[in-house]
Amino acid sequence: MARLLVLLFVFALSAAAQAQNWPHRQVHIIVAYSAGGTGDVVARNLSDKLGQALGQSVVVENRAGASGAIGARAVATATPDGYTLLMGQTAEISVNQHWLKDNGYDPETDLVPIALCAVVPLAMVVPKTAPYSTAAEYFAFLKSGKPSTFASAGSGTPGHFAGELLKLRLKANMTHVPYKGATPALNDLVGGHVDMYFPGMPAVTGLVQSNSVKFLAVSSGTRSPSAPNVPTVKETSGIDNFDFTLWAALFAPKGTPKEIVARLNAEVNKILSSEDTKARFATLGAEIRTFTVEQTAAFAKAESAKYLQVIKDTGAKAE
Amino acid sequence: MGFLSHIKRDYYAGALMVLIGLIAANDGRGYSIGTLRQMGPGYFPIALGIILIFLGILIAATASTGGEAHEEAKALPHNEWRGWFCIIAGPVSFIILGKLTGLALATFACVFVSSLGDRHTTLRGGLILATCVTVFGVLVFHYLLKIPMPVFKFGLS
Amino acid sequence: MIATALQDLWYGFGVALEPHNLLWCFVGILVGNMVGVLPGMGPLATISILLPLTFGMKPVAAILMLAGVYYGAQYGGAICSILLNLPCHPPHAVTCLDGYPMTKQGRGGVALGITVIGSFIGASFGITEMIFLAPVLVSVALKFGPAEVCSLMLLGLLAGSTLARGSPLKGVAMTVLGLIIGICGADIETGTPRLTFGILELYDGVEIVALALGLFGIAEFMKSVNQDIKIDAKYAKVRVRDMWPSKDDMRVAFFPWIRGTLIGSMCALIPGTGPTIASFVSYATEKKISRHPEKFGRGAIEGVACPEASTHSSVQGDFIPTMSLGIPGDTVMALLLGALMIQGIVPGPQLISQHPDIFWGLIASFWIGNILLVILNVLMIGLWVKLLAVPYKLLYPSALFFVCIGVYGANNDMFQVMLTILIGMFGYVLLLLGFHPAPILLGFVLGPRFEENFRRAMLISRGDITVFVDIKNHPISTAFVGLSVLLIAVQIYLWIRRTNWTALVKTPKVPVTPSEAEG
Repeated sequence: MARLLVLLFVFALSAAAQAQNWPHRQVHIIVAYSAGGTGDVVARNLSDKLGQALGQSVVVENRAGASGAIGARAVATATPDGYTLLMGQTAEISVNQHWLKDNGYDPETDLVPIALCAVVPLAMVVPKTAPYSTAAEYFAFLKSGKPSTFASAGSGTPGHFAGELLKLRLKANMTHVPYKGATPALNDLVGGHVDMYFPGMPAVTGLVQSNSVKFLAVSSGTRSPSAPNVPTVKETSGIDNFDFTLWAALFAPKGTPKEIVARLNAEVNKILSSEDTKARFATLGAEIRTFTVEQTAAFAKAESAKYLQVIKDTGAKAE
Repeated sequence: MGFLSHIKRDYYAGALMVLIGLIAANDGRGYSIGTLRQMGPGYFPIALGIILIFLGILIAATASTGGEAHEEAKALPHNEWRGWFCIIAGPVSFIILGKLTGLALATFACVFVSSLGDRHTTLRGGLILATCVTVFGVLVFHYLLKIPMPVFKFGLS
Repeated sequence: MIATALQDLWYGFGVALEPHNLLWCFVGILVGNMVGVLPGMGPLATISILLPLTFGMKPVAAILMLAGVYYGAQYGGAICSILLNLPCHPPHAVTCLDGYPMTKQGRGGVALGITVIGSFIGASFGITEMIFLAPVLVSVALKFGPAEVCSLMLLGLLAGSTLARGSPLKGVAMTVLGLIIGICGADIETGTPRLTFGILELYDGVEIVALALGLFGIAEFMKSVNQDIKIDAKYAKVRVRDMWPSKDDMRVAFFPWIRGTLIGSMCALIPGTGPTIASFVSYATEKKISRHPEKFGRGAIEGVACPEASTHSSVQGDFIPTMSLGIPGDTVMALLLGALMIQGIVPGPQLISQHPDIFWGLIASFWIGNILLVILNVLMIGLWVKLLAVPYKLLYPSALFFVCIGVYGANNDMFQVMLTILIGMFGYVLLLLGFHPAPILLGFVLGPRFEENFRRAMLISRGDITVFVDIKNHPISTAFVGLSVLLIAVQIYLWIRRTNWTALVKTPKVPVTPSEAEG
C-alpha cells in the first residue's frame, strides 16, 4: 500500500511538469458516436499516423450518446492539456446547441477548433422503382404537391434539414420519416417503403454502382470530385443556400495552449496532404480541405449560423 | 421474512406497479399525444402507464396465499444488510476510485469491499483475493483489451 | 447454380486456408471467445479496439479476424449464463432461465454441451443459407417495411409475456415495465427526451448491458450472498466424457435446435432484429408450443437448446444483408463494413463479383472458425465446470468487478456503471416482491422497435391503421396480425377451459420441492 502511495505522489509531481514536454503520454481522441461511423473512420485513419508524428500513441475512444452531446461535453469539461481531443462532427458542433434543450456545453465557448479533417457530401437517392430518374424530374414531382415521404437518420441530422429545406422551398407535400441511424433508413429506401433519403455518400456508393438505388443529386454546394457527373441540388432546384455536408474536425477544450493547437494543426494537415491518406479518404467519399486554425473556426461558425437559419426557416424543432 | 408476508407482498408489488405507472403516465403528459397519423411522443408513455396502473391494481386485488406465492416466498433470503451494503459499496468504490485514481486501485477496492459482504470472508482473505483480481484485471483489461483507463492516475483529469 | 456456388466455396477454402489468413482467423475467434466469457464489453467494443491493428493487414485477413471476434464471442457468451446465472451478453440472457437450474441439478456440463452443439447447428445453417440463398433472402428481407416489423414485434410481445415462471399477471406487468424502460431516451421522431429526468446520459436510453447485468447480475448477488447455495460440486470432478449430453438429451434438444435455427435466421434478415431478439422470441415460441411448459424455468433442455441455436444462426445470418447488400444489419456489422472501407473496398451488391476472395474466403473461414470453436469449447467444458468448485465468497466479488469493468468498457462511461448498480437494487426489490425480471428484458428489446415502427407506419400510410391488415400490399404484416389474434384466442380458450376444469375437479396443488423453489 505504501508503495502505491509513493507511486501516486510521483504521478502528481509529473502532472505539474506536463505542459512543457507535450506529449509525454497517450493522447485521446474522443469520437462522440459508436465505432464505424464517418467520424470514427476518419479519426482511426488519422490516429495511427498522428501517433507516429507525435512520438506517442494516439487512442480513439468512442463516447456515444445524445447526438454526440455526451462525448462533446466530456471534452468540453476535460483538462485543457492537449491530451483529450474531440473529433467533432456536424451535429455536436453546429446543430445541437440550436436543437437540444439542454446541451450541457457550448461548442463556441467551450471548445477550440484545431483542423478540419474531412467533408462528406450527402447523396439524394430514391428507390430504383421510382418514376423519376433525374433530379429535375423529381423536383417537378415534388412541386406537383403529390404526397410523398423522405427518410432521415434521425431528427436533427443534416439529412433531416436538407429534406425540410426542400419541402419548404419547393412547397412539397412531404412527410418526414425519421429512423434511428442510417442503416434502417437505407434499408427501407432500397425496399421502396420510403420515397427519398439523404445518406452520406460512402454509405451508398456500392448500392449506386449496382443500380439498387437512383442517385439523383449531391447535397453539397459544389459537385463532389468522386461523382463529378452528378448535379448538385442547388444547381438543379435553384435553392441558393442548399449546402449540407457531414464533416469532421478536430477540437480541443478551451484553454488548451496555443502551441499545442498549432502543432496539431500542422501535423494533421501534413497527414491529410499525404498521398495514401488522400487515396483512403477518396474511397470514403470524403473531401480533404487543409484549413488553418482560423479557417476551421470560421467554417464551424458559418455552419452553425446556417443550421440556426434553416431551423428558423423550416420551423423544424425538437420539443 | 417478517416484514413481507405473502399477502402483504402482493399489496406492495401492486402498489409499486401503480407508482411506476403513475410516473410514466405523468411524464407522458408533458409531451403532446398527437394524432394517429402523427403520433406525439406522449402517446405510448401514457398508454403504457395506464396499463401498468391497471395491472398493479389487479395484482393487489388478486393477492393470495395460494401455491405460487408460497413457492416463491421460500426463495426469499433473510435480512442481509451487511451483504447488501457491501455488494453495492464495492461497485460504488469502483466508480469513485476509477475516476480519481485509475484502474488498479478501483479494482482492488471493488473486490475487497464487496468480498467483505460474505460472513466467512476474513480481512486477509479479502486482501489476497483483491490483489489477485487486480493483477489479473490490469493484465487482461489494460494490456490485452486496451480499455482506455489508466492503471494509475491522480485527480479528475 | 449450386455447382458454381460449390466451386466458389472451394476457392474460398483456398483463400481461408492460406497460413496467414488461417492464423488471423484463429486469433479472432480466440479473442472473441475470451471476450464472450467476460461480462459486459462485447464484440462491438472489442472490434473497435482491434480495428487499428488491421490497417496494416491485407483486407481478407482483416475481415476474417474481425468477423471471428463476432461469432467467437457468441460461443463464450452462454457459459456464465449457465454456470453463474450471469447474463454476460444480452443474446444469452434468456439462456439463464433454464441453464442455471440445470447447473443446480448438477447438469451444467450437459447444458454447455447442448449449447455447443446447438451453436454449431445454428451457425452451419446460417452459413449454408449465405452460400446458396443470399439473393433470395435479401429480396424477402427488403419486403419488411415498418408495418411488417411492427406486426412482428407485436407477435413477439404477445408470445413472450409469459416467458418466465410465476404469476402470469406479474409476468405481463414486467413486460409492460420493460416497455416503459424502453421508452426512456430521446424520442426518435421529435427528439423529445422522455423519462430521462433531465439526465443527458439517458438521451439514448438505458444501455441493455446495464439493464441485463443489473437485473440478473447485481440483483442475483444480493439475493445469493450468505445463502450458502449448494451446487452439486461433485460434478466438478467428473471427466468430460460423462458430462456430454446423453442420447436422450440429444433427442429432446433436436427439434428445439432446428426451430431455434429457423427463427434465428428469420430474425437475421429483418433489419435491426439481431441475435438478442432472436433468442428471446425462440425461447418464447419453444415454451408456447411445448407440451410441458411447466418444465421451463426448472432446467428444461429445450430452454437452453432453442435460444442458443437461434443466436448463432442469427449471428451468421447477419452477414447476409451486410455482405450481399452492403447494408449492415447492426452496429457490429457497420463496424466491419467500416473496416472494409478503410481498406478501400466499397461494400455493396457488387462486392461478391468484385472481391470474390473476401466474400468466399469469409464464408470458408466461417466453417473453419466454427469447427475450431466447437473443438476448443468442448475441450474447455471440463475447465469451465471447475468454476463451480470455486466458493461463492470468492466468486461474487470477482464477478462484480468484471461486471463493473465490462459495463464501463462497453461505452467508456462510468455513468453506465452507476446505472447498473441502481437497476440492480431495483431488480432486487422486484425479486423480493415476487416478480421475475426476465420479461422486462423482452419488453425492453421489442418495445422500442414496436413503437418506432408503428409510428413510422402511421406516418407513411398517413394515419391509415388498416395498413397492418392490408392483405394486398402487406401480406406479411397481415399474417403476423392473424397469428397474434390466434394466439390471444387460444390463450382465452385455454383459460376458460382450465378454470371450469379446476372448479369441477379441484386438483390438489402440486407440492414443490425446496430445490426447485429457487426462481
